[in-house]
Amino acid sequence: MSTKYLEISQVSKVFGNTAVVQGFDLNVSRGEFVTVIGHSGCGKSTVLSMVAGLTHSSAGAIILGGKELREPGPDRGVVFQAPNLFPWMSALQNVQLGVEQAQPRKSRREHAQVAAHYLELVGLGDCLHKKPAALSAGMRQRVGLARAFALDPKLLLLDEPFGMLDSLTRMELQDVLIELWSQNDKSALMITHDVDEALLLSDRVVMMTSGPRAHVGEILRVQLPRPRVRKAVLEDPSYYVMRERIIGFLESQAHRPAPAAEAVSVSPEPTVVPAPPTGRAGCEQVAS
Amino acid sequence: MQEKNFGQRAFDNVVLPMLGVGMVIVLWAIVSATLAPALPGPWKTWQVSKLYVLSPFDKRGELDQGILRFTWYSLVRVAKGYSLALLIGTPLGLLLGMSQAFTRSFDPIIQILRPVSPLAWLPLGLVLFQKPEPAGIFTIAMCSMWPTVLNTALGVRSIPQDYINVARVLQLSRSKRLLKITLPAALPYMFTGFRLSLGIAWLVIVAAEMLTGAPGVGGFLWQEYNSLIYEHLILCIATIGIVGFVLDRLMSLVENKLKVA
Repeated sequence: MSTKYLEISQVSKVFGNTAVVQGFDLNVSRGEFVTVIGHSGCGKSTVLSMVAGLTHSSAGAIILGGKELREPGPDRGVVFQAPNLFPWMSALQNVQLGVEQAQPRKSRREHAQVAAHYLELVGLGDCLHKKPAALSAGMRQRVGLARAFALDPKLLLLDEPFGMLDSLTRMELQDVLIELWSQNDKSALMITHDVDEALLLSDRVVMMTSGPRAHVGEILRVQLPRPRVRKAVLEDPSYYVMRERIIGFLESQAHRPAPAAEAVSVSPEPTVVPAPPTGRAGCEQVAS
Repeated sequence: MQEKNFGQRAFDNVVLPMLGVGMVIVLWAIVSATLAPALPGPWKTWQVSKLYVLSPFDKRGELDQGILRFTWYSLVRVAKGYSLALLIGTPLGLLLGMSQAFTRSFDPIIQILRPVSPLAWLPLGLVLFQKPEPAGIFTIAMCSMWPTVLNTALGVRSIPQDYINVARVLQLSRSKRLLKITLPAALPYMFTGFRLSLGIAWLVIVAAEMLTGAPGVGGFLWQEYNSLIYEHLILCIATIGIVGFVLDRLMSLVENKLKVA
């Protein structure tokens, strides 16, 4: 096993009187893709936000490359659930903004070149000068991906990056993400509530218990060979075993007696139909 | 919904407003002929004002000039006071929007100064500057800056947390955050403030010129009142109203452009 790059140890986050996350432990190795899955409102995003440095943890430590994290930094690229582009800037300018900050020594032209390069990688080479309003939701999130990758961070943090997209666009962007990630060999920590997305992308799937006091419930190692192609992944018999296991865990969390009102907001009966080996039926089942 | 044809639109946008104006003029004529004999009627007003309207840029004497010439003097004065208001008001609003401590310290004083009438500021300006011209500009600035201050602050406070998170994640420097994020995000609000400020600046001009006797629409109005030429009061009122309306339209054109962008 390679060296631990990101260490999250015994991290808690308290809002008011409620401990949303308590005793969260997770290590991410260099080059590893880890997905955190759990029900809505369980505190997944809070964990990510703490790793990003946007929120401080109430207890515990987050260590990245040997140093404790308190603030956001250039070593982490964040892709938010909404693309959060600045509407008064073109796609290129949006990406360039981060590049300028990450590589202050380069000239303006080089910044633009780097930004354009990453926009081409995400398939937006023709839309460099379009404003976000002129782009579709999927295209905007591509810009969001380009903006994060263009910083050339060692760790990518993705907070349900495709949660707001329709399933076709989502699959397209998952492929774009696989492509980008495998070229750059970065560590990645992604939050999702989509079981299939988690299995397709990650080396390990971390299942979180429902909040409050959410922590790591189970960890599943995804042994599917890389590079992964969606079709091959879906035809692998072990895929459905793993899928069952994750859904089983999430179901048990949904039926767990809720310690607080917040945890009840989860849909009570996610029907678990063993997905047929062909096609993508059931893609949306667990997406809450 | 069905698209209105040309005739209907012409009726809505031209005929109806003209009908309204016509009715007010008729009412004015009736009132001046019956209830208020001191009020000059429409026809008499036109007769007496004709010279000022038809050769609007003439200068026959210091206080006897075409109406647009007077308007121009007033506009220049307003432009000076208004620019001053924006120069002070915008940074003040940005500070208020960005700093809680600043808001807590200065918001009360702003709320106290805001409702003070131009008639109260002007004497203070005269004391401070010893001359009517800068006193008038000072008054215009003091009265018109508040909407700019408050709307700019509101604009800065209304910047979505998402934008702020992106700025933090990208580690933007303070100056870059201000120029690239805060200002553009707050700009639509700021422009609403600018528009309201301009309205007030124009409102204040009359008071400023009346008390200082400076040549301009307001000065002319006060002088004609003292000379008992009451028809010109109505001419001045109409001019002030029309100019104010045009200024507001122009500003809202710019404002709408910003909202689309």
